[in-house]
Amino acid sequence: MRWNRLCRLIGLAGVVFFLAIAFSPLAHILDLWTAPGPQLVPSDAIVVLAADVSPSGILSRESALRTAHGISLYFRGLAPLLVLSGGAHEGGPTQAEVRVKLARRKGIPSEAILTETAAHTTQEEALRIKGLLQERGVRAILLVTNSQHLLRARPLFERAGFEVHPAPSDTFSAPDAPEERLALMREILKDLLGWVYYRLAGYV
Amino acid sequence: MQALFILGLAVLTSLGTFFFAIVWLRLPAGQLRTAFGKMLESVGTTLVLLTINLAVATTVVLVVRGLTGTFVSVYISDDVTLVGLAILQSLTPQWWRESSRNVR
Repeated sequence: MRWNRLCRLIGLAGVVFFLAIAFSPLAHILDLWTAPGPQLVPSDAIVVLAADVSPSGILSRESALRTAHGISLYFRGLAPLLVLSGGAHEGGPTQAEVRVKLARRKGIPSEAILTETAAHTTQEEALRIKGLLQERGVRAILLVTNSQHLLRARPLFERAGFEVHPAPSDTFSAPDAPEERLALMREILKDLLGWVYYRLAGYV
Repeated sequence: MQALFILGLAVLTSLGTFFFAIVWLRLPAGQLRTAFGKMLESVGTTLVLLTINLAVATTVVLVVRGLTGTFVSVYISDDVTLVGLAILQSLTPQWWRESSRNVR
């Protein structure tokens, strides 16, 4: 009986949470509250963090968005270096290779592009990119990823010794459709859990 | 606009279902509260099972990483299908319990 009552309470909380997220702008408010806003100032390098690539070499929507944002920041003259990160699925090209092709096609010279392909996690990305950029004297970076991911990516890169300027690749526009609101909430929860894990592990 | 439309639609069809149940199926209106409680119970059980699934998945990934040194992404369990499976997982034991009560 006690178990039934507990399940009812959890169920009630779940239903209220679901309705509040789907039918109110709560997810958008949480997004604005938790995610750092853009600080698009001149820096030494633009660092575009990895998302996903298919084994056939097609960038995920998130990866394409981040790459396009990094390229646009480069053409705005905000930094002379573009760092593209991302490993590969079994046998396929690395995400960084696919991103480099895109950047080259848009007219960015190859000497302005650096790649990082070995990292598996955001923490590894911060450490490896530190190794890549430190020898070039890079200190200030524009960090490109989605706004929620910035929550843990920013302190990781700060801890690696960079002066980090967030450059979120997504917009902060308020979604109107319930499905989009739920998807946003899912991203917020996912990255909050990631942040909690990184805190517990002592990474941030 | 879309949110209001969907919410309005759900309210309308819920009212329709309520009247259908009262008039056509002749269900006692007083039992609606009990049914609502059972619905919350199912949702709660689903959420508990979803949490267990995610916790077990994360633990397995971290153990595999620690023991083998092979990288497995934590996002391996980041799939909406898990919600559907948790619903199926929660409904079966609930109906099992209900039917066991009737047998006793």
